Amino acid sequence: MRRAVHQDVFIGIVMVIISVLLYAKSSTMPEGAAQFPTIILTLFSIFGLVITIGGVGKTRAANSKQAEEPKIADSREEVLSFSKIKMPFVSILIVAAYVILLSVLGFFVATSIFIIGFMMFYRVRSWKKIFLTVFCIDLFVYLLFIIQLNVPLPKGLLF
Amino acid sequence: MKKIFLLFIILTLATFMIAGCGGAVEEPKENVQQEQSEAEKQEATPSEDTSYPDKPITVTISYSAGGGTDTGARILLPYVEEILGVPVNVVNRPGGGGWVGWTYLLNQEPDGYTIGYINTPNLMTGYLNPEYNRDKSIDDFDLISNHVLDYGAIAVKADDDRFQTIDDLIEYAKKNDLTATSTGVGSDDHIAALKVNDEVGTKFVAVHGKGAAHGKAGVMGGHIDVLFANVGEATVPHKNGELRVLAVMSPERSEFLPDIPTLEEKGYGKIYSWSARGIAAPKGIDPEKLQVLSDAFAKAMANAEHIKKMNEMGLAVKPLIGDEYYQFLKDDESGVKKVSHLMGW
Amino acid sequence: MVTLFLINWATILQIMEKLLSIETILALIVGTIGGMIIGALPGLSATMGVALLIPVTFGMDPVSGLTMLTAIYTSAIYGGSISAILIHTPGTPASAATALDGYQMTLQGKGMKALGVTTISSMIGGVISAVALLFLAPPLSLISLKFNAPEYFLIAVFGLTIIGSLSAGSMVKGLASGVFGMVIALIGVDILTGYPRYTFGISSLESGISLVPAMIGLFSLSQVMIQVEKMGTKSVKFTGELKGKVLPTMQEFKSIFPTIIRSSFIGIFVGMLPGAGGDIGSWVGYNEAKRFSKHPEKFGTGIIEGVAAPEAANNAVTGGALIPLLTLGIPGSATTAVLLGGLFIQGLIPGRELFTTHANITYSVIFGFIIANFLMGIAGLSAARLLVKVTEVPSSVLAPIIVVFSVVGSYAINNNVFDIYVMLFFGLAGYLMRKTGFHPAPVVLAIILGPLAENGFRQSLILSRGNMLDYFMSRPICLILIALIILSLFSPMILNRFKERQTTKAKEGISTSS
Repeated sequence: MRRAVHQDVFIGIVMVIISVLLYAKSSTMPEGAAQFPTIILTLFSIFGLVITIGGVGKTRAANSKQAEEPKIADSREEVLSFSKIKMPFVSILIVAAYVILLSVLGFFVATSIFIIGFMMFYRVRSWKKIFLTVFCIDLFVYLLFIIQLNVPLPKGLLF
Repeated sequence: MKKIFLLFIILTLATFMIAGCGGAVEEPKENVQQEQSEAEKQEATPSEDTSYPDKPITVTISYSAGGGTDTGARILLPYVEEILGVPVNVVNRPGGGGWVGWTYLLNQEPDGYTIGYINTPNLMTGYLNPEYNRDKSIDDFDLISNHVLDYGAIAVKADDDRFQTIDDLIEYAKKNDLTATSTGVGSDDHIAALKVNDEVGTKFVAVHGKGAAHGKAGVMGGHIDVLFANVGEATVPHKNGELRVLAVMSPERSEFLPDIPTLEEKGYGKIYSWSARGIAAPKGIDPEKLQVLSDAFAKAMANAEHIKKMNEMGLAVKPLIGDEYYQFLKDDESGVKKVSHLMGW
Repeated sequence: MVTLFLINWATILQIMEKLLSIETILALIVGTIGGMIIGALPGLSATMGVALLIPVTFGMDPVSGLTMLTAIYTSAIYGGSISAILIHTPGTPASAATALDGYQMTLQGKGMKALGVTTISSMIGGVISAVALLFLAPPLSLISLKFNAPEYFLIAVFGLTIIGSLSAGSMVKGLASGVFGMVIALIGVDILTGYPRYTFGISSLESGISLVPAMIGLFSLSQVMIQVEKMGTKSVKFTGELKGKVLPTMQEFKSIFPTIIRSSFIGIFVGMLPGAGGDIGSWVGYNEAKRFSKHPEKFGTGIIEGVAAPEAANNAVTGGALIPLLTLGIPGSATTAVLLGGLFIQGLIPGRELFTTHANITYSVIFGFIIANFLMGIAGLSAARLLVKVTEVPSSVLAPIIVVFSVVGSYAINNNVFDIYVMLFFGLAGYLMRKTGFHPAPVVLAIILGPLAENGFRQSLILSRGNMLDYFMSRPICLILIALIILSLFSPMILNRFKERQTTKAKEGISTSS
């Protein structure tokens, strides 16, 4: 089985592309304002290249030493696979939907919907638990932010 | 399950606790509110159709809580609240040199329930600078009243022997580069230094920093030569003997610094600089509501207690309403336009 | 020095009288506990807490009002660490450094001990800084004036050298994360030219990416996503089992005591500089503890020094930051800038008068501040057992709660919906970074230090009138800082070589280097 290209290659390339795009934008800046960005972006693109090259190396290593024991590179580093990041991505989509709902439904309605949705996504089946959580968070936020601190919360079009 | 419940109990209890204690501490305030409502009854509106205002009014402030604009507003607004008889709440919307808040304000319904502080010259520099591509101007606001007018001051470190008077400073600065504080490109302090350079031929070089504190520390520490700031910022260190104010940039001497000459009386021409802040509503507010607000603010600003508190901070109260205020802002705008080439626009 | 003579018995009596009033005691308790709660919630930082409660102090007596505000300040900084330790969600930017070792300790079931160490370190740091404020405010404020653009530039560079040592895994990726943070910090209006850089016409970007939403995203939201990954495995919790005691043993305390003292002085020093606050102080404290440690490689794996160091430092910043505020009217941190408004409202103008005409008010507030630090310690220690229960809440309940607070916190900091999207973006970025061997901590550090470095450098260029090198060389503090930077860059190498020589015979296989 042939392994795919290591993720670092993509990360590095993305870094280089971002640097180039932003670098191009700095050409229209006044001299003083452009100075620091050019230095930082140059550094960023160099790191991008180094990571790309490192990624190519890792790809090769992974392909050649297929039969051998996998290399322990770094405990913090994992090879991303679709199945692993699927659920976290679904979760951030739910959060994104919540944020969009906030500007339509206002804080309390959107938050209640979000908590119910998120806990169901988390396969919590006890409605008692879900509603208790919704109730307590809404109450807590209401008491602390609205009553006590007088902090405005996001208002929606409807509420 | 039990444990979650426990957590919530802890949290809610904690909230109630501060809610309870906070309430106790706030007690004096409630009394004030009671007095307010009594005051409101006394002022019960003779004209019946004007039910405005009948719900809380929000005042947006385009700078962070605790800043100069915010503090000044929080001193004034309780008196306005007392007169209008409805709560007047402050909401800080900082960012974008003030324009995050102003853009928000302009997008609100002109129903008289959302008004905000506008600050010069930041308001003008924000739309005059073509880099920002803003299609707004003063004419997008309906003006309620000016509140504070803080003229510019020029100061040096108290033990800086090179400059005893403003003449010493200007003579020296004509021949040599001197660094000057600024609170940012297009700030009133920056514009003031540019105006002096333009009129008298001095060579002040602005060192832009974040906020007035940065500049004050720079001059007190002897790193920056000259402080370009406002009277409100320079008075206290002047009296404490940390700085020496050499001149003010106003038509008349400042009441807080009666011994300090103006640039004009020293013969350097009409070089004025100021930052002003006042209250405005988004364009299109009902003229009657505008009148109610202008009257309320004018009355609140005339309150002796309010003036005393503002003066303690070194801030001069300068109420301006209607056309007078509009003309004042227009003058400010043309003043900024006049030096805009010096900022490279 | 002058202050010492001013404290006589009559003043002390007056101070006692003022402090023992019911209103002041109540204000102290409310301030301390309220501050802890505000701090612990992500997004509600110390600065916000003080700003929100200033209006409440309107009608209060100056002593009780200001004591409450300073109590909120110090305990909010402490409170931020509670959530950083227990759920990897720094409540304030000053607690980001604590999350590194604190959360690791929680994962190992030592959350209670981490809380205990945090509380004790914070209390000691806060008290030492308050004592410095009491006795040394005027002379220290003169030192703080000696720092300007060139020094800030060097401090920022010094701070950035920490990034190299933060990266536990790949050094390249650690540094790259730092540079990424610097790129983020480029966004916004350039102070020195007024040019809006990379704002793409969005007003909300003109003042730059706000640190708090970015940090909440990088730490908290990404943590939620990582938890979601483990979904399905039974009884998912944020952490490991709970065991151990709150209080550290005498031996442990002895081992962290030098760290606490060192960090306290670092904190006071960083605090009294107008350009640097608790967010920088905690990192410097952490880094110095690591440098002086006999086992620097253990930092980041959950050791008590790694918790004690940033904690003592960030609470010591509070007293330090009050020094230039009270003596010169120059705030030493973002929170004290807000406190300045609180002083004004009470009719108190910073400067010499505070220590002469208004001496009893000022000293009462400082004494109140010391008491607040002790109160915070007592409250923290007694609540630790209760607080740690948070980690027993299953993540199916905790995760949505964290998301809700992340959203509220990001919004509340500027009342701007845009910041919620910023938080969302950094949540995703933080998750991907953590999954691919990058680290969010250098990003946060670089967002804080990037602008300090840039503005410091460019302002020095103007101040030096083009003659940078001579200008730097003519400033003694600059020379010291340059020496420190060189030392910090090369000391790990020298130490490593030294250590390798010592341990060559004992070691056989793979070491930590990769």
